[in-house]
Order: sequence, then structure tokens, then C-alpha cells
Amino acid sequence: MAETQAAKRLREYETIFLVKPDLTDDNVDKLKERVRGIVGREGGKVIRFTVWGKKKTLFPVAKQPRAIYIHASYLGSSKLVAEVERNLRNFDEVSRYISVKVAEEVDPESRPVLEDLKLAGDVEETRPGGAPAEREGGFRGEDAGEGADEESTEEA
Amino acid sequence: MSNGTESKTGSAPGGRTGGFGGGGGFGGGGRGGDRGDRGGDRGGDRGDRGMGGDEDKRGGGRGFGRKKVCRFCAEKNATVDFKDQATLKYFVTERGKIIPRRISGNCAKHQREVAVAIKRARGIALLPYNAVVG
Repeated sequence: MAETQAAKRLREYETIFLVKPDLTDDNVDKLKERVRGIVGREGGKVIRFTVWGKKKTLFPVAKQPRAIYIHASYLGSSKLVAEVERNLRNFDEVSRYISVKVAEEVDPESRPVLEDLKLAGDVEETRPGGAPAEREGGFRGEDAGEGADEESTEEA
Repeated sequence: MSNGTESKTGSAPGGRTGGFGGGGGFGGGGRGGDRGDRGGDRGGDRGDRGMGGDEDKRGGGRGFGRKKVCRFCAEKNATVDFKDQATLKYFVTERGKIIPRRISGNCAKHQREVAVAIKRARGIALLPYNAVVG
């Protein structure tokens, strides 16, 4: 018994996926449960789901300026990751995902299942797109520099 | 006069890096520094610049004070994490480009990690691929 347990070392992965911002909390929970079901089916172990909430994306994702971020941390094999990703691809609500290996050779017993978290996400505020970047100060009229000029422009 | 030429040849490669460092520190400083190099090299670098700070570095390059330390090496429990948008923001420019090591001060190992993390963060829209500066 003990040696079979010792042989059962799994890897720890985390997957973040972005879902469309108009999804309700119920649907987000449903999605979570579906992913949880996949991980359980493939012999993995879910450690924690964290819903980061609705966040502003730095560029439009699926033609939306925001997205709901869901972070899943779980133990499993590489097959499991492939299966999770395959399913995420098939979910229409999921627009992006990324899976990253966090640790190797984790004993499943040593990692307790943690309670799901839900973060608030960005506060709902309608900013009129103010870009405070004004950098006209020091660069008037001179264009003699070649390499250093580029560098400093990037940094300004 | 011989002194002037000597310091000129001695500082030619050093002056370049000094200029880049200035660019990292504040806007147009890089260009100003290069210009100052050429004209003011007879006048002595210290007085010309006013920010040199330490004299013992003069042999190699311009004494640009402030030795950069890799922030991930300096702090024991600081790790590179692609989810950590606030930290990664320091390592990209306003336009979203990755800042080179010579400016950010990262060590080689951590710069590699930062670069990978930034690319992952871009994939999930935590950092921009290309932000248009207004």
C-alpha cells in the first residue's frame, strides 16, 4: 500500500482561463464543476479554484474589453492537462487559457483540497480612456541621436 | 591636452553604456549624456555631469552611481510569476516592450524568467503585446 502511494507522484499544474464577461455566477460555477469533473475523471486532484472576477483586459479578447479570469490549481499527469485543454477549447464561453506546470513529483496526500476563492475583480468604473502619457517635454526640435535616442524614447 | 585625449579614448565604450543608463533613469538624459561626452571631455567628467557619485568606477565607465541589483536576487521570497501583473509591469515599457537587462538590472537567470513570464501574461491579456501610447 505504502509503495503504491509513493509511486503515485503527480505534477502540479495551474490553468488560467478567460471566459466571456457576460457570464453569470451560476454559469461560472457550472463551468468550474465541469472542469472539476474532468480532473476527477482523469485521476487528478483539484486543489483550488480561484475566480479572479471580471478584469479589464489589456486588449480586446473575443471582442470584449473585459473577461472573467478563472484560475485552477490541480495535480495530475500530462494527459490530464491535454484533456482539460481539449475541453476548454470546446467550451464556447472560454476564450483563452494557459496551463503551466508549477511543481514536479508532488505527493497528492501532502496537498489538501482548499476552498474555492472568489475575488472581486476590477471595480466597475467607466473611465473615459484617459491616457496620461504626455512626453513632449524634452524632445523638441532635436533629432541628432541615433541609438541612444531610441532607447530613451522607449523609456520615457 | 594629452590628458584630454587619453580620457577620450578611455571613455569611448564606457560613455555609450553610460548614455543608455541615463536613458533608463529618466527621459532624455541618454541623449544629453552622449552629447556631453563629446564636448565636455576636457573639462573632466565629474564636474560636467554633477551626478557621477563614485570615483572608484571611473576607470571602466562613467560613474553612474547606483549599482543595479537584480530585484529577484535581492529579495529572498520574490519569485517571477506570470500572474503577478503589478510586478511584471516594471519590466515592460509603456508600449509593452520587454525592458533589457542593462536597464532593468536583472541578472541573466531572472531576466530569462521574466521574459517568459511576460510572454505568458500577454497570452492572457494581463500585459499588452503592443500598447499604443496616446
